[in-house]
Amino acid sequence: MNHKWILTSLLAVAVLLAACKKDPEPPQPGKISIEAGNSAPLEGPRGSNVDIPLSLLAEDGIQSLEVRVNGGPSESIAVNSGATQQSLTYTFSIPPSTILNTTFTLEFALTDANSITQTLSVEIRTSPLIEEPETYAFERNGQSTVSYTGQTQRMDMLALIKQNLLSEADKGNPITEQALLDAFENTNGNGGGLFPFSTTKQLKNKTFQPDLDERLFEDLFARAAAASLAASSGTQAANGTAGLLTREDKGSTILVDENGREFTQLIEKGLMGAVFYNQIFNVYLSDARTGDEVENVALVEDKNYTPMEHHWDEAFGYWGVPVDFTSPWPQDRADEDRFWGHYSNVVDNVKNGRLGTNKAIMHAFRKGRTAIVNYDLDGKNAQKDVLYEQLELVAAAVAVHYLNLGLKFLNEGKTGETFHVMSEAWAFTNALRYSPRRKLSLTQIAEIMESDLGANGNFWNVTPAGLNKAKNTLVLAYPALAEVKDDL
Amino acid sequence: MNKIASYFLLFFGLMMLGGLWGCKTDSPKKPNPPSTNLAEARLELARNMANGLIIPAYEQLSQRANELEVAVGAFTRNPDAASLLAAREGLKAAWLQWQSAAMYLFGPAENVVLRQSLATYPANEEKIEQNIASGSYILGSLDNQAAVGFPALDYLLNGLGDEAQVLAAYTTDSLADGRRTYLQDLSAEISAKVNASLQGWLAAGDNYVAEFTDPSAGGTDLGSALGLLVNSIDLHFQRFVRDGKVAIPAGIRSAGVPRPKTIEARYGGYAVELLRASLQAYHRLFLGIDANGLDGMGLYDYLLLLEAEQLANDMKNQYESLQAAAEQLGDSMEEEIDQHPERLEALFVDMQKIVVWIKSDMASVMGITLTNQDNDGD
Repeated sequence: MNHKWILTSLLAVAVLLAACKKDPEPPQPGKISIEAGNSAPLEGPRGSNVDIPLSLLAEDGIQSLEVRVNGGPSESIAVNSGATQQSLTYTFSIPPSTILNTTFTLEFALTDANSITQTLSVEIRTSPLIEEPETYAFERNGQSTVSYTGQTQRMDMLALIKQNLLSEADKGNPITEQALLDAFENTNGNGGGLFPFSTTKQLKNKTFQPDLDERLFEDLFARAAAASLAASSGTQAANGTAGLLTREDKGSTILVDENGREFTQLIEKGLMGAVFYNQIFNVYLSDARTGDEVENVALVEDKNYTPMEHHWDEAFGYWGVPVDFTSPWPQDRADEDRFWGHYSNVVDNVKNGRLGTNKAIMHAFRKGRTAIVNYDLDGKNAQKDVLYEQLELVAAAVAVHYLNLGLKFLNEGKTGETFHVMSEAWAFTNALRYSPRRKLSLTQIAEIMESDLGANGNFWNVTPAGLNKAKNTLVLAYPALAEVKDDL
Repeated sequence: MNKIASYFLLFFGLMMLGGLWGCKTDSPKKPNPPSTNLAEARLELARNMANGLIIPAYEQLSQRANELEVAVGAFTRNPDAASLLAAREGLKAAWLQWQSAAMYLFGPAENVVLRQSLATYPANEEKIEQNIASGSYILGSLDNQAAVGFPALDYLLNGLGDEAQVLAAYTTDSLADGRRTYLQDLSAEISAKVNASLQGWLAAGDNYVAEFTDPSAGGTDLGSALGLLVNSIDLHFQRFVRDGKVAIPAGIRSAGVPRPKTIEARYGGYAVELLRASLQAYHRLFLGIDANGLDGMGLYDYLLLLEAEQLANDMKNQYESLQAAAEQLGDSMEEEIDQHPERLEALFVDMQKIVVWIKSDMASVMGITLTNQDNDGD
């Protein structure tokens, strides 16, 4: 009887319990939310960490938090499991190889104890690392990243060739072919004794290959040396005879070839084109050196620059200007620009700065270099376009400048001055050959050099009609010159 | 040269002088109440120079050059005494007219290098003979500047001996064909360059007149009309009038040792007439007397507006006395050099005053920068 009662009681309890389970109150799910603590658009430069403050709320208890970047695999973020709310900061690292303005979409997913999930989408834009500086100065970790000593050395070499060899020939002193070759090839690392410094760099191996194929400069060296020897024993220049000519205004003499062309200009200005412009145009601005695929994250071993940065700087180095070069450039700093920078300044301020090439080119170099630091490939490529355009414009403008002077001296009957400036015009027109984007065809360039500047490649045959024709050809090809053509 | 030809040339020259300049000597009427607006005055000066003096000078020069080309053509087709004389007259008439255009070397004339192409002397006779012998030459080239133009024609028409010898050179000589061709080419080249200069100025051509008289050219900077004019005469008067016509041939630049080969038109023998014509043209230019003899705005009037009366009148008087002194010279420069060097020396000294006035006083009063780099040497 006793057992019976116990069993019955247990059964009753069980029934009661079962009845209880069968009919519960409907459950109320706890609130869940995830919010970013920062309402402003998130951004950061490549290689930087971007902090994203998050506020999590899950009344039933936080179970997990995950993040997916650009729809990639989920990654879990550590959370206080079971807590009902939590503030945390998620740090996203923008990879150093990120192109400027790339947007990352981060999708956060918060799940609570009831396995209910709430998501939050956050966008992060890749912003510039630096703004364009006012001068050509760039740093990384407080150290400069800019270096172009090789370019400066080659400019020094060319200056010494002119100063110590070509100028001597112009004075009527003999110079040797070997001395010119030694300087060109940097024999013994000091130009055969011409350079007061020692270096492995040389001009010859940076010279435009087709010019080397044709032995353009080697032939000029041989002819200049032979002419200097004849001139040293008194040979005066005449039509068909190489020798000395007096520049009527300057009072000094120049050594010209049998066609009236001044060796100093053909060689000095010739190498400015065949080395400096050639290296800028065909090497450093080419895809091989500053194309989009060139390494721009890892630093060159033991250096503070990336390959792409350095190549751009080497192009800048060949332009030959101080880092704060601008328009107009003050007269009292005129000795600080060299070679192409100097000639940009010759045409920069004409007609109250209409051309403004100093500033335009300087700006393009700075802006392009800034773009490289920012991994702004479109920005870099846009500045390349400006550089090709403006650097070529300088050569054309200087050529027109000297054609104008040629016409002036022709009017004054000054043969020495006429041939001097025509030699300049010849070499600056020649420099147009080195741009792969040249606006004149090779045929048109040859027409100016070998026909307009005197039929049969002979300056003695020059006519005003020829000079005007050359000028017109250039002005038509470079419309920016139209409004300054008579002022250059 | 035979006497008849000399007298004829003299007569012709006097006719030219009378015809061209006879109406000019009336005392110039003063300009209308002077504008106190200097910018407007400069524009008026530019307009008067362009329309009143420069373009008419080129128009007449163009006519003379075309007549010369015709006369030379006739001579080369039928070389005889009469056609030779006509060609010589044509040369002299053109050369005299050139004196009224020679000082305006800017704009269109500069584009064709007119002065060096028309009037580089002494002619390089050796080069001329080489060109004739080879038959291959580029007439407009720098190398041929002394083998073309009036001085080359002077050599070819007046410098080959007596009349019979000259005619023989164009008929029986082995190079007669080439010489006739060369003569024609030279006169055609002169015509072409003069016509190109004229067309360059004309409104119907390249319209340089609009540029020259545009308000944007009304300043005093290098490219302004006044800047171009003053620079142009600074160089021209000093180098081509004072030195070229007087100082160099008279030996004033060579220790008093004369250089008769450097006399302008040395074979034609009318260097003194060319000198007179040039001084006459300068006088008109200074006063602003146009081709019809009307006195408009000139450098003189502009100096008055700048209140530089002393300088204006000194220069005016000096141009007049220079002309009077040139009238006193005999017609043969060679004889003057030989027999009256002191007259040329005095003329040179008087010209030098003009050079200094242009260079120092006038340019600075007007605020014009001079670019002529020639060392004056005085």
